[in-house]
Amino acid sequence: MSLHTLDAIDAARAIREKVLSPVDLIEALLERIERIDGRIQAWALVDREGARRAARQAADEAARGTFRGVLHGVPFGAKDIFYSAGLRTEAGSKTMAGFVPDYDATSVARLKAAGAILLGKLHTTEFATTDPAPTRNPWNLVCTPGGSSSGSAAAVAARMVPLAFGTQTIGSNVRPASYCGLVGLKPTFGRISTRGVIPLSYTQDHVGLIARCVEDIALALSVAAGRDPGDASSSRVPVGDYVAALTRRRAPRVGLLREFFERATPEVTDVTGQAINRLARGGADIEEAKLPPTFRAVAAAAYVITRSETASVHAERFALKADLYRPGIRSSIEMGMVIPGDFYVRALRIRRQFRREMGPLLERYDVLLTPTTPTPAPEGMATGDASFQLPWSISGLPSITVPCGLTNSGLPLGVQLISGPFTEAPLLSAAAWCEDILGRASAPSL
Amino acid sequence: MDREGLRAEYAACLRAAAERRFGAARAQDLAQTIEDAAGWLTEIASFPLGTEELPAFYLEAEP
Repeated sequence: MSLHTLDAIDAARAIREKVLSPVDLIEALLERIERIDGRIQAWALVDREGARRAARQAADEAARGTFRGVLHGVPFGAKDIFYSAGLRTEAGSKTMAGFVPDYDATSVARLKAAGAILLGKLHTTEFATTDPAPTRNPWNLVCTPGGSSSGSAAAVAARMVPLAFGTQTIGSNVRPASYCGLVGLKPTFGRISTRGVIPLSYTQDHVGLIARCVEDIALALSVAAGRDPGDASSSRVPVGDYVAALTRRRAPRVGLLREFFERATPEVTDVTGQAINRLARGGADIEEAKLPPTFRAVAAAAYVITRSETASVHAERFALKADLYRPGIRSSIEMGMVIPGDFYVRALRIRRQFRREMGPLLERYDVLLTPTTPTPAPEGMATGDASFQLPWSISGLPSITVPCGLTNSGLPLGVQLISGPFTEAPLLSAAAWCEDILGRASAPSL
Repeated sequence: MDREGLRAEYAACLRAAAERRFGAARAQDLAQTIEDAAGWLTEIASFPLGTEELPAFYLEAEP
């Protein structure tokens, strides 16, 4: 097996068993990046020397039988809005050119403390909004990988790194993961600290994870999750044993959200429908579920909240550098500056009502299920339709995508699973069960 | 006022605010964005929100 194809959990195991050197793994990935990233453009910055240095240290420690944690020697990437000490962090924006933070985002620091090695920074749309990154979809270079976590998804799909951090405010982590045939988790709001992640919307920003299998997501979440005194929005809810949860896989009770199927293309509905039939044959108890009336207003509320908070985040920088912003983020900020405050507060109230009204539905089923996206990855630069992720971002509910098949043109599709607040353990267990039934996406040919 | 009337009123208010803040030319550039936002405001204003529903700034389940 080529080293660049190793999943995080397999690499971690091989390093611990001393049959794989972190140095060899890093070199294999650097060689892979050198060979293909010119076409994909996933990386904003590759920290060759830093990664090599960390790999040598990890190898020395492993030789002595010292392991820092469950990700000892495993490489990862971070979207270029995550602070990384001593490494340029530019958020895809000219307004941030040359910015070098002096500390790591808490999430990055936690992975490093568990032994993982930061390989570099991954392209993002400007400030994680809509102005696209240069990144292309490894399954078809004509298509977008989605966004805003464009580089995170493309790099993992192209086997340049096994694991990456993305973020999601509306639909930026789960959607690109699906467009690229991957597993992508947006945990509950507050589950992973956002300290050191350049904000877009204070009350809707989530740190997410992208990998090639559910097991890798569980492993990384077990390290990244947890209370951070440096982030007022991070949760005190105890962190579950996400890896152990995967040993308790069983056919879930599934609530099918028909509204989403009606808004998807016939091909997406067909492929997803076939996947649902396979899940049912595997033993899943599937029935249609009905969304509460508030669902109708969640998109409007989400956009008003995001625009208003983005305007607040960017007020000072925008006053000095408005002309350096690209058109999408610029108009978002300007619109947020003129939306009346009473509408912002009313949107926050709608958000709370939606979350409350979702409660009974989430009690009744292990997971809710939708197609992950209404279409496969579109051609061009625009990053696609986030509407299937938006309700779970505004409500802070955890959601995950697992691959479920390919279109006739060979683009990956996924199913999205949603569950109640802080139920990541059973959500991951259900996702792993679905992955067992549906199979993993193959690798794109590059 | 019906929804279309409400939407037109919100669009006019947003346009006026954008002109005051960014100038007439930039407000014109934002025409489509203003129309989108007026639609959101209309949806939010016309939604039958519970009167006792408080805003949620940070969302957290009980530990």
